[in-house]
Amino acid sequence: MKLLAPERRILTKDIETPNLFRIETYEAQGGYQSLKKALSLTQDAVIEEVKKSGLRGRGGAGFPTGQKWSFVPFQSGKPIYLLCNADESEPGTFKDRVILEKNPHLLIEGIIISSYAVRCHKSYIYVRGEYAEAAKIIERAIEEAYQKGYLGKNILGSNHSLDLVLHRGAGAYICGEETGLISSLEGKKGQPKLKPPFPAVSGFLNCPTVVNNVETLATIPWIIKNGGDAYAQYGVGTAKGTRLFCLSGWVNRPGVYEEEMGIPLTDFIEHYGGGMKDGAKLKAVIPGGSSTPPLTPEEVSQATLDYDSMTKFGTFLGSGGIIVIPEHFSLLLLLERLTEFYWDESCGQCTPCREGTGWLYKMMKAIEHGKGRTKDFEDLQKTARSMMGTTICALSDAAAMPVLGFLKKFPDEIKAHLKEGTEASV
Amino acid sequence: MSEKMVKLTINDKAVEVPAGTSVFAAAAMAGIEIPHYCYHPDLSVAGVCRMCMVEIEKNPRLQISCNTPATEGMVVKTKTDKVKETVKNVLELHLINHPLDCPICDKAGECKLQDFYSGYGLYESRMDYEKVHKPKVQDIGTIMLDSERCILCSRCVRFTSEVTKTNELGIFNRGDRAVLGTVDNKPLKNDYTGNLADICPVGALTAKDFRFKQRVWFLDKTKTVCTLCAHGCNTVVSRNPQTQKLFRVEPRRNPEINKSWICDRGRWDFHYVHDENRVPEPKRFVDGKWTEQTWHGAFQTLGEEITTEPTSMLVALSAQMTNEEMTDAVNTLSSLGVKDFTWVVDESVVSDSKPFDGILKHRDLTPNARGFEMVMKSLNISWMGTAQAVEKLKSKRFTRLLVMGLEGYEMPGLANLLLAAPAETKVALHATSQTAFLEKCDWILPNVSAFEKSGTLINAQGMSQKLKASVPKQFLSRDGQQVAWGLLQKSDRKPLSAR
Ligand SMILES: Cc1cc2nc3c(=O)[nH]c(=O)nc-3n(C[C@H](O)[C@H](O)[C@H](O)COP(=O)(O)O)c2cc1C
Ligand code: SF4
Ligand code: SF4
Ligand code: FES
Repeated sequence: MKLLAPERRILTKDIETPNLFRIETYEAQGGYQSLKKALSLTQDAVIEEVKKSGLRGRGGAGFPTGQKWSFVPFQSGKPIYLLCNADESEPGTFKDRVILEKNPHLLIEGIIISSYAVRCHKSYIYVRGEYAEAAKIIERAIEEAYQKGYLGKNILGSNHSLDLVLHRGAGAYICGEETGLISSLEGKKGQPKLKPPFPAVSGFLNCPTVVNNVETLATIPWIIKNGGDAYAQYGVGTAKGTRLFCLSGWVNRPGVYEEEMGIPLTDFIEHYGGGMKDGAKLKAVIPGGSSTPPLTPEEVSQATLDYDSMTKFGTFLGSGGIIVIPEHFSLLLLLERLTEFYWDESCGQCTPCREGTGWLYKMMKAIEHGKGRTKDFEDLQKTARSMMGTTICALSDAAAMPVLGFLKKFPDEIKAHLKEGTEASV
Repeated sequence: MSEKMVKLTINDKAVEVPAGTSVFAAAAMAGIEIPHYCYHPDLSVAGVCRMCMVEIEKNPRLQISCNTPATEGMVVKTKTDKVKETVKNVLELHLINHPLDCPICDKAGECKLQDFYSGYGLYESRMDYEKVHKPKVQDIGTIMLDSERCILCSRCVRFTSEVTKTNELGIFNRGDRAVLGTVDNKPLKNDYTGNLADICPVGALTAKDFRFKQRVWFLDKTKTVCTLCAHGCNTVVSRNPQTQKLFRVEPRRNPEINKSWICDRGRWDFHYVHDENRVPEPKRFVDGKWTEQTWHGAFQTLGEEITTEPTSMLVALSAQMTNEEMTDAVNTLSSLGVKDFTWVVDESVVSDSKPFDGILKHRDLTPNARGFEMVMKSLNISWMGTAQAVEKLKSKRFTRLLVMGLEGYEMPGLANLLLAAPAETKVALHATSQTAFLEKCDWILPNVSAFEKSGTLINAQGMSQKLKASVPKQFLSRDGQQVAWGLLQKSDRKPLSAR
């Protein structure tokens, strides 16, 4: 499979255009034409187009977007909300930021079209607190869109009206989980809600709610303009389209790169990342954000950037955060950092997550400080397993998966640091 | 019934439940117990303890039964190896940071954490790192809080948000730093705080009134109802078999009356039962002072008075009496010729059928005003309301007033009657405790408290309920039935059996 030619890019073709974040520049590039087209279609036709495209959510779980939209009970009589998830907090993930800062109108146009499709008249963008610059840019873009009549009452003379509000989070990873986001937006403590009921039926303020990732929504204008079939031409198998991959770690050119799904991981790292920094040897790659299990060099050489290939190697495409780990980097340090992150970010309502994240971190901290004991290896595994599939949201699994993955694929490096002994410390 | 039913099987047992019932509740109806900490039948579902996992056919992932609606044809298993293993692991995670200070914990013996970990054989912890420490003993009003024992099930938080709607408790911070506390560290200030100690599955919230007084396994329990207002909450009363004294009043679940709750007054105001204000024996005011009398003497004197002049006597029955006491009193006294009856109750609030606070508490502090009305109706005996009784007392229509069945200190409605009685009216009181009006009386007869008698009561909703004695009679007290029959026997009439 060939790398994606720059002119075939879907989300970032024009991304380097100066002042693209201004509405005039965006319009001059053909912006808001998809909205006009969408408003001339029926709402169901828009959903149909998105279904045809095969687009799957870019927030991490990869749920088919068109299908998600059709779960909404349109006739319930309650208002329907569309929430744009711009909380982007998964370590190794920084792609939404590019859209938010460089092409905010693409996102806004996507939101307006999507709101039309799901019969929503009030939408929120929930942006992580740390994205202060992005928040400013989005705020201004929303203002511009109101002035031009793309937002507000009777958009472009149609029957569709939409109010769009920017909401800044206060810096909690868990508010990126869709029901955590809803709680936070409702003014409550940012913690996930039980399912059922599912947000599509009863979400924000107990009304039907669709939560979509920034990248997901930003893809919608292209699909409407070019058709779902055209989109489905990109990618392979169940992995349609392109994605914004975030390349970080020990590479020469870290950054966000749009690629078609299905291309070989090695090619991606070589071409976009310019290979390993200082010619270092590869030890592992985390393919989809910090919660996805790693790939060994052997696996990296066989893996392609699509859902099925990742499943084959026991991992996920997740949020598209590709983290390249060189031979010299300590996996113990890496796991200590990761377990600390999840321990810090757990909302704490579910016992397995609250207690498990703390225990994992304590063990990894001890091991990293040279105080690991043989028994800790099994304890890490057992604790991580107890945290899988036993909680309200997937943070618990997200904390457990990398631990299990590294222990399984790199047991020797970890075991080498464990000593026989009974004394617990830290 | 129009309610839609669904059929499912749980552990091969067929169960039929109304649509919308959770798998947890369905299992409970079928007598199948599922381990749990956060679920409570009278609170919203939190789904946080993750203990109630079950296996549902065709679903690869275990599900929490408390938040899974039962559906038609569902096949549920609660005790598969996978379930057992998972629950054991979740339980282990509950315990890793728990102080395990059972020997000094008041909840020991009725702690759900203790119950389960012995059940799962988790005596030795794999977690030998330093535990997370949180504030220990904190005084939050009527309740003591030990955050280190708290398993963050959120039952107490839901209680103050959903039941009392006072929102006084919260879980602050996140992750394993999450800690239960009161908002702004203020003490609890609602009328239902004692329930918090009941619903806390562990020893994090304990009632000050009960703490450390008695190990729970020493107590005998009686199922009865509260008599401190017209609501008639169902209760369990504990007594210490050695001292024969009351130790604790707890709610007994009745979805139609009090759910799982009682108010703090109903829970803690029983102390009058054992205190020094109790009237120990019959007393008569003679020659300017109170003298001890026998029941025999009291019955003789009062009985004679009644038979000589039955129509110059007003009998007032406290709405704290049981139906049986009232029936016997009215029957025997009428047979002696008494024609004038009234009740002792605060008439201005007696017709409320609903709690004034929207939860449980009634303004009518007597348990059986409805019972009085029904007894009088069924016996076809006419009676007068408070206003008429007051007026007739004032106009010296009666020379003797007999007030029966008073209990506690409050005795609502009594002051009205006694203040209306002119100085020359002779008053006999049948009461548990000394009152401020003793100077108005010439007789005081010791009554039993509601904890010492059994019978039937009818609450404000019109539901009749059983009152059951939980402690033996204190001192020489006698209940209304005994007084009624005593008066009849000792009157100059022959006993009924000899007629
Ligand atoms: C702990 C956790 C954190 C998450 N953080 C984000 C996030 O920052 N941004 C995001 O879009 N989705 C995040 N998700 C996924 C969302 O729950 C949700 O699936 C997503 O927003 C749906 O949008 P999509 O269908 O367009 O992908 C997170 C999920 C979990 C479990
Ligand atoms: S899994 Fe963790 S983060 Fe998610 S709801 Fe439960 S405690 Fe909170
Ligand atoms: S104090 Fe008790 S009831 Fe409240 S959250 Fe903790 S364990 Fe649950
Ligand atoms: S009882 Fe179901 S999760 Fe706690």
